[in-house]
Amino acid sequence: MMDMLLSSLAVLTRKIGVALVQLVLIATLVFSIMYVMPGDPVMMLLGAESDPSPEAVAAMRAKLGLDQPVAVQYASWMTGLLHGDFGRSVTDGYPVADYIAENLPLTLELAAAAVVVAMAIGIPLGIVAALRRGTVVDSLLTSFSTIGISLPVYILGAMLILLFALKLDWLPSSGYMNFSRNPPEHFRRLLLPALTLGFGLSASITRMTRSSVLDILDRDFVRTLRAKGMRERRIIGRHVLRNAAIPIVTIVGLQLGNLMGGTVLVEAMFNWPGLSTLLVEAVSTRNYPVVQGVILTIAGLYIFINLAVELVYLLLDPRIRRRRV
Amino acid sequence: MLEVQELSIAFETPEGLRPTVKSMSLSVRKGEIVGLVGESGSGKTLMSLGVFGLLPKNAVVTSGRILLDGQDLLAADRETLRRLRGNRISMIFQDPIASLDPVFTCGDQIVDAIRIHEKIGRKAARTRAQGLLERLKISDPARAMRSYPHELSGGQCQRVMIAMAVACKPDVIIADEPTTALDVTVQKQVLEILRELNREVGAAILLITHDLGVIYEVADRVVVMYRGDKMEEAATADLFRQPQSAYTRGLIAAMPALGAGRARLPTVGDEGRAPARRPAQPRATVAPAPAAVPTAVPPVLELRGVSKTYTLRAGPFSKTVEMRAVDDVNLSIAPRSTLGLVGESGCGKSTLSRLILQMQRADRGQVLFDGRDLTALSGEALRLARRDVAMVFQNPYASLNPRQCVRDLIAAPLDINGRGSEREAVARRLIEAVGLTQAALARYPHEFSGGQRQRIAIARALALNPRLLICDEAVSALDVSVQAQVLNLLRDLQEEFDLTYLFISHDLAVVEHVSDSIAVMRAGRIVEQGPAAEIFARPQHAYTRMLLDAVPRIGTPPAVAVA
Amino acid sequence: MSRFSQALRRRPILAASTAIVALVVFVALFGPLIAPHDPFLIAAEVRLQGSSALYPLGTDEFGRDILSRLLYGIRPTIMVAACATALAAVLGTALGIVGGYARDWAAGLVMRVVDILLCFPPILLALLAVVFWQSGIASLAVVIGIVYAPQFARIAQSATLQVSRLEYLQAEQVMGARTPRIVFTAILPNIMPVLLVQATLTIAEAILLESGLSFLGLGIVPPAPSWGQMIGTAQQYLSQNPMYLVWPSVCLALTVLSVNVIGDTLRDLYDPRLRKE
Repeated sequence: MMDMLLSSLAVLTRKIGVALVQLVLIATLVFSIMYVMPGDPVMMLLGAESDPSPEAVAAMRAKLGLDQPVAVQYASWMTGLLHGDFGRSVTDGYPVADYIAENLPLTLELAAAAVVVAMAIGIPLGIVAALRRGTVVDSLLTSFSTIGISLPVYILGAMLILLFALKLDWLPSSGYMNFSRNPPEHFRRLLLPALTLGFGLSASITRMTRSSVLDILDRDFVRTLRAKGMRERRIIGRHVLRNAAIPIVTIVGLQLGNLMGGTVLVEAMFNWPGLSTLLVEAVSTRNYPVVQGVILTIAGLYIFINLAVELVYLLLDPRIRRRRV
Repeated sequence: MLEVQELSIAFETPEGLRPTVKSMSLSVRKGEIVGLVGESGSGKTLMSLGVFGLLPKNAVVTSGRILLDGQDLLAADRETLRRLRGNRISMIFQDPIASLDPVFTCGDQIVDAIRIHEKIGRKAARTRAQGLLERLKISDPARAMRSYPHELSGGQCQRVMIAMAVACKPDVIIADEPTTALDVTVQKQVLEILRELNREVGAAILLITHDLGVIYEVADRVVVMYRGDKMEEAATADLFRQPQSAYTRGLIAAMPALGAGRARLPTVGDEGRAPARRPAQPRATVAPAPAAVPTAVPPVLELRGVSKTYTLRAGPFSKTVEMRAVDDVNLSIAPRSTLGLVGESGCGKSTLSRLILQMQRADRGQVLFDGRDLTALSGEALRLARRDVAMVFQNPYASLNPRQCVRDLIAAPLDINGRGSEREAVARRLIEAVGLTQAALARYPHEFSGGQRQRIAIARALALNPRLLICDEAVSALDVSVQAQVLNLLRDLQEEFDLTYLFISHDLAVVEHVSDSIAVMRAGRIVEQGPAAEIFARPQHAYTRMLLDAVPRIGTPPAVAVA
Repeated sequence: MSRFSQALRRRPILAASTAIVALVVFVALFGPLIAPHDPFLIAAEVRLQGSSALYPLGTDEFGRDILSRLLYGIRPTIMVAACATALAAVLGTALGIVGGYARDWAAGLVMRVVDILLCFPPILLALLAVVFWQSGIASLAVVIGIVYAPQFARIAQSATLQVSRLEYLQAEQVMGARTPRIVFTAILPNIMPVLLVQATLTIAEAILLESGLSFLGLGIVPPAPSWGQMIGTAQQYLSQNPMYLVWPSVCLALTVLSVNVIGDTLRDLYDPRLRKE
């Protein structure tokens, strides 16, 4: 037992170490965005055509900290991050961290709702398709998943708005309602964006579930289980699904990155005041510190999700938990 | 107990039904072990799956009956069949590790096997499972119960499989190549277990294998199958004394048997054709073994104190473990002779071949090829020196680039060494030397059978006229009859091209057939070496004796006593 | 390819998809020649009209012909997708082969970089680059190409690793083959099927990404037409002319769907991991 715990712990610490290194590298990358991108950010901020005075340029430079040597800037950027300081917004001087703290939960809520929708649809459909392999049901479900993967969120979203908001008038077409003020309305407004965002993911999950269940069904040990005289339902429910869960978790983990990307479009469409809305706004006003802060947050989230996926592996797969020397 | 009557099974293909098992009949009585022998593609596995009602979706039973104690299994409904499986009739498969669910412990899987068919508490079932493992002489049964399949060795997993198969005291056990994936010493233990079980439990056992030696050791009666047809059925002793069908005669003759020395192997017809019609008498045209090489001739290859150590670390908190893959190995091979290197899986013999080729560098020691130390060379000098060494790999399905035609494959060594102008002539000459036609040159590897592919691989190895040919398990993946042909080819080529062979194999009988001298390797060390005849007649080291003892032998009393 | 043409005859959906892709490519090449109207011609008196004899698919918010704008709007999307995929394929395959076959430290370095790039959702990277750089077909193609290179690299790397474990690669090494020969005769031809599948799927993704950027108003610069941008604009006029939204949506969805169907078929046919007896 002891060696098992130790080796699990060892795997875990290594993963966390890798994630930390990734975070530092990403912080560095985000820091360098300002320098590798063509054009002087100060001039872009002030607007090149208005021909600003040298004093204004110098003031802006100082405000952004750009008057100091790069090494000093880098050091203060990194130490700031350690203290949760992402800098201050150029436009109104509020701390970027405050903006993120305000917008991040909304994005997380949307993404989580979308994942729940996607798994609730995708996993059962995938299992059904695999067990009914080669039948009409299978080809219908496979076509469904191909369509789901191909359909851009903004088309699906527009169609849903057209149908549920404009034609049927069941749900509001866009906007956000604070949960504490009106809980039912909060969820009514969450429904369409979550459905829009989750649909594409549900299609990938259907497809992945189908192929991994099929793959497991072909393994030798399933033949052994049948030869033991185990009931088919138990073979599927206990053994096949448990083994198939590993690749399914992988795909969900990998797709979460795409999901974060999808929020950019979905939030814009439904006026959902999340992180991506903040980003698009900051990008269009050239608010660099906010842009950097949001990107860092999203990348950090992604790394965190990947780490979580690795932990789920540890729980699911004894082959990773205990490696034979 | 189990009776198969006129069973035919066919595959559904776009072109219609392709019959694979043709009107097979056999019966297994209580307490009897019946061997079912056939080469790959003979339909023996399909038949056993048919008995279980576990045929692949595209296979159908076209006629026949399968009776278990008088009850027709083909007429039974699915629920009845399920209740019989694992209970009154059970099965042991070829690849034990893949046949166990990787995410459940072995103990849980045995417990499951018991509790599916018997109303018994979890605790009681565990006790019984552990008892079974103890009876099967698994080391540390309590630990095996807690372990996942990947943490156990192949032999241990096969014991777990056997425990599951016998857990409910079945009447019939079907064992499909139960020892093929195992080392020879482990194979012996597993066969002994089967024999004992048969005696104790009284179950009827149907043992399916391609290995006549295994049959000879444990079976009471034998059924021989070829391409879906039953060729012959006889008591084991009779079959080996007086085989009736030409195919069986050929099969027995083609088997490299221990103690036969360096003899040319008779072969079973040509690949892809029907079994030989001509009586396959061992041919008299046996090439005399080369006379003992005078010691004055300098060896082609000499290894002096070659060692390779791997350091492994399980995790950042674990201690580093040193593994000596190759430990102080000294070997030498005289020109135009064959050194057979024998050992079980993991003994370091493949690492040794990589060290000779400098694919991996030795930590210590010298690899002298024609007197030059290869370990001291690097870059272009090494490349030039290595041109005289070629290699034939184990798996003919993986060692040929599927995207190159045979001409390009054989000419590859010439292309690599800037001698492309000779490629056509060399390819034409070599393709015939290995017994294929010129027409083969324009075709691709997937159009050939395993044996033919191995011929192509040999032709490629000869393209630069090498002096040393390393054959790493070069015939292990082939059927017995094909194996004999390839071994004969290697012998012929040795004379024709003045070749020196390093022949690496786990199969003692094969090694004896081709080798002038033998080295036995275990855990990275050479435990014994010397002239082949000497080693086989008077093995000095205990491990060599154990290895020799474990090989199923035809013509001597079986190592596992017949009940 | 013979396997593909066989499949073409047996699967009607595949045949339809191939026909649609062929049509899209045709229109991308010759669309301007068959368009009934000038896609830039503003006519205030016919804003947001439904179908009519003169405007088969209606008009947009400036009274421009939607059909003509659709026909003109394919070209930049296809150009961007094709160039971006080509770039991603070359770049990603090179990185992937290094990651799968080079010495340990080099492979490790390359794959760590790839891993980090994979941490950013493609649309985020593209968004940043487009905003800080400039819009336009060439820069979009380069940006999207770079964004999808890491995915290609992952696929190419795992395929290369698989091939590297096979004996024929060891056989090449034993024969003393130099690295370029091993890469071009032993690795590349054998990982080609996987790359081909990935390329097809990347085309579909690139079309989606370009349309997404244009949807946000950050891709193809107006007044030049593009499908994503038309969808984005049409959303604002949903209640006045819903068909304005439907037409470009259907065109875009059908195109992406067809490319994906072809990609899936290729995967079924050529991916050895999925090919079973």
